[in-house]
Amino acid sequence: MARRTQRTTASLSFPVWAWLVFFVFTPLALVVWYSFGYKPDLFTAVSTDQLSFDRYGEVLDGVFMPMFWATLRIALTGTLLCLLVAVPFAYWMAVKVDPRWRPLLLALVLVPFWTNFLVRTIGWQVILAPSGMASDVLNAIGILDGPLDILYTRGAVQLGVVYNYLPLMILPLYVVFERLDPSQREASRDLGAGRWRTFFSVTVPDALPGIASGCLLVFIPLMGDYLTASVLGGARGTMVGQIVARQFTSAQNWALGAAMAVTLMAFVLLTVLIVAALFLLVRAVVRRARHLDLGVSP
Amino acid sequence: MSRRRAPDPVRVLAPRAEAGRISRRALLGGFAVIGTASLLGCGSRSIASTASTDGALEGRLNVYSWGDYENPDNIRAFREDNDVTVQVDSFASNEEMIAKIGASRGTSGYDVLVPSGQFVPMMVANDLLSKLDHSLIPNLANLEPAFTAQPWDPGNVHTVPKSWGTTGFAYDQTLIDGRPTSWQDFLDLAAGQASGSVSLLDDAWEVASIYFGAKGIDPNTTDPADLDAAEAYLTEQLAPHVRNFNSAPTQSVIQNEMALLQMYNGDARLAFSESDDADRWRFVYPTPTANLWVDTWALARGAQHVDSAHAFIDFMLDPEVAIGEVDWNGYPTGVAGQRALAEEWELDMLDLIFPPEKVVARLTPAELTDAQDRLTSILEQVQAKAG
Amino acid sequence: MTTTTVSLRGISKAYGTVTAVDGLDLDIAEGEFLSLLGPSGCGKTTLLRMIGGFEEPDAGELLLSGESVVGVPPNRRAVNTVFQAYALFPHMTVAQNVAYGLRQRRQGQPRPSRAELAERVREALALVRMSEYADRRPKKLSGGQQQRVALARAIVNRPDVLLLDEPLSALDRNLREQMQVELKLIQRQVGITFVFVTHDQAEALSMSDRIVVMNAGHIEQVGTPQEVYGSPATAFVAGFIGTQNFADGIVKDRVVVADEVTYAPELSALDGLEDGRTVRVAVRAEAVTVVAEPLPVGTANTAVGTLAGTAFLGDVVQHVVLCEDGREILARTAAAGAQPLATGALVGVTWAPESVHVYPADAS
Repeated sequence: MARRTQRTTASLSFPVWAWLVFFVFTPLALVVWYSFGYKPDLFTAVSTDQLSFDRYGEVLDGVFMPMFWATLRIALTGTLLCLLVAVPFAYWMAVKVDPRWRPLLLALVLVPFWTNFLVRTIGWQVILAPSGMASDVLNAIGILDGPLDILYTRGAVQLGVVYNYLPLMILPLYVVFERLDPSQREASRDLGAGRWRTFFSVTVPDALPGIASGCLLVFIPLMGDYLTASVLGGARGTMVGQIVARQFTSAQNWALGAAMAVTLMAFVLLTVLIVAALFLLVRAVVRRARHLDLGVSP
Repeated sequence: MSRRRAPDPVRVLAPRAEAGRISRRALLGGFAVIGTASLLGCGSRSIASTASTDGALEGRLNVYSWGDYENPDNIRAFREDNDVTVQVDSFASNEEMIAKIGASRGTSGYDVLVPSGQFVPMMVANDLLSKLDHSLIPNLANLEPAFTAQPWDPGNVHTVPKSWGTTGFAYDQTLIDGRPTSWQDFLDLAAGQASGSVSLLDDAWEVASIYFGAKGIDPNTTDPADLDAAEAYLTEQLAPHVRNFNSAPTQSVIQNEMALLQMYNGDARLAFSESDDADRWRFVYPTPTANLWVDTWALARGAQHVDSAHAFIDFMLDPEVAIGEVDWNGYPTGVAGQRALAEEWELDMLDLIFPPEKVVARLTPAELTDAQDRLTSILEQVQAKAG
Repeated sequence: MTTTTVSLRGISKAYGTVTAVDGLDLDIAEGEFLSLLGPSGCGKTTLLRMIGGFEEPDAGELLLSGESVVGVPPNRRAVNTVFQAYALFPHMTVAQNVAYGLRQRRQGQPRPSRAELAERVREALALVRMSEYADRRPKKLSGGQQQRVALARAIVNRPDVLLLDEPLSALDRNLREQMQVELKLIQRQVGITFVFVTHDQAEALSMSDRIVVMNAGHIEQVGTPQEVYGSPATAFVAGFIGTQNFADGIVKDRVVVADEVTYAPELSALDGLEDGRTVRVAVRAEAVTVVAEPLPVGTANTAVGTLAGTAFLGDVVQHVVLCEDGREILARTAAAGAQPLATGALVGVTWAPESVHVYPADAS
């Protein structure tokens, strides 16, 4: 009977395995394969008759690295800003709002997703233009004196990415906050902790898986984003994704583009691992500080 | 007492007989084989062949062009007159189009392409275009003589001109004093009054040509010394003042985002006509030279709707149809007598559509040279240093 | 003289159109073990939560140790709660859970030193006999163990009042009874006022100094277990505590006639009830005896019927006697010494006059 179940499980997971192989592993393998190739002439995009690591050398020597650091800054700031905005909002939605209204609020959070990514980013371009609505409003209420100068700067890109990726942070946070046991919060209050103490000592540690998924869901695609920067960033707000994309459009150097893509993936993975390690370190330190030695032998 | 078992759910996915035999290892092995085979299949070298003409128009035509480049009224007219469904897809750069056509090896499904002239020789060399049957294009006689002898395709063997234009720059008169006339003036303005508010074209040749133009060097040069000098100057003297790279900055003009923009004459005309404040803008055909680019109609290798394709190209060469294109995208076609027709049609800003004779005489068409890779790299450097 | 720790006056709370608590008055004495007993929806949990500060009353006065705490949040009341689902913090060890309350800053009191913290946590864990589990995570503990940790976590803060919200309802019978004994002992030991919510009357009876029987938002009776059991003030209390045999009848000549059965209570039970008045009588099953020889029909405080079934409940035996008029009478006797009776046999049931309780039928 057990054997039958094993085979059944293997067969049932066929669609998932097929999807993974055809749409994830095979294309990835292709990209890695191309990254060892070269651009033989002006017209042909890539050739793999001679394999080498030269493209990687080009990547690390060229404009890629400074662009990567700039992008990393935007991505980390963007993730943090998303977190700061999403946590109170998701908490309010999951805990304070009447359960009847929650599905409606969730739908409203998702409404921007019904519009194409590019279209809503262009919408921001119109709003942030020097002669646009934002400029008019800010001048009218007196914060700004003169046309708004934020378009085609890093600031505009930062705003755009937070706007575009915020729902991806709100949703996992909402899910995890909603699942929290309200009596734990009550217990914390009961034991003398104020609202903020309760939030940081009880709610946040329980919500860590949600916070982690939200951050990953935002940070990783953000590192590769090039649309937001293309539309809002101008020269100063370039992100590394644009350089990678350019190799596949105007420069037509697929080998270099593939090498850039692989390098980007590796660096993003490395960043995530470093942050995870830092987090575990901090947690270990906090645990050590909180540890109670009762002197009781087990 | 035997237990009743629920019906095996695997039945839905695989025949009962097979279901029991699929183990996880076999499954993964199967995928590995299929995956490798699909990868290997990517290496095929043969190109599909073009269909032959038979006089009868096919019911469909697939056109691959730049975005919004054809007048919808013309397309509709062709469709209704000939009962042919016309599908127009768009690409954003020649490289993108060439990559797609090249990779598909003649099976892209497109019949008519719109490559820029300078890319045509290479496309021919790589067997991506088919020869045109001139007997099916009687309106070729309408072309201005200059456009029958373009260096990249003398005799219109593979291509027919569609629209042509030149590069210049537009500036905001309220922010910039003086009357700039040359590329050197452009560079001076960029470093001076317009600093931080400059937009350049997102094109390697065009950006480099600003420097070459300003210094009187042939923009199609392949001399490494020239290229080094261009890189040095552009990255250090121009890049820090540039705010954005955009090949179609009409919105930037309309929204008054920049003070100085390198742009094509047709885009400038479009921007001025849509702007609320057109008087503050002025377009310059800079001295000593600028690009003369020509976009062409070409027949793709592997096209399946060849008769319709020829009929379409012939249709577009009709002066009355061609002027509709001029009206739509603001660029002249290669058809003769368009200026007179434009006056008849009462199009405005004619000087922006038809550059003056003395300007046309000094233009230099861009060529695809060995320096292309270097130019691309220079553009990357400039973009990295920009802002 | 006992001091009053908790004082409630005219407390009301409604949720929309539903009234949870309706104009309630209650005094809870210092050091007593008080149970709030009642069916679901009677308002006992709402009342508990109002004392704890998790809900605010719509009207009324609530005093803790003489001071009004209306509007004071739970973290500033000298009250601690043991929650029904224990609500232990999963990412902290048992010891850290217990220490949590001590670590919070209180007004006017200095934070305990590390040593003092450890000492008090040790003490609390020893009290609930969970010392060996100090470094365990809650998810590694059984229900009963989590229960004890929750108790320690609350008690360690030395609150004026400890609130327990049906803490034993998730435990199995044996563990429950064991915990009832332990809780009672602990309460005696630490001397803190316990307010205990339960719907299980046996639990309330066994542990409490006083029981508050609640129904539909108001108090039916407050008294010691003996008072509530022996002299239920209303029909509801009578029905809720113990197993009752109810009958509706009419007062006539100092007795209550309910169809063919005559109930003759003690004379004082009929005070104020005139002839012809409809009343409800209750006789405890434990007070009913089954006799093999039925007495003649019509004799007061007797009935005749067939023995429909006998249930063995361990310590007691419960007989079900089916009378001719369809009425079922339950009788319970101690299992030891119970005479065996044949099912289907004709038997008589009888009870003493003092075990007949009479309630006006229109009383709510």
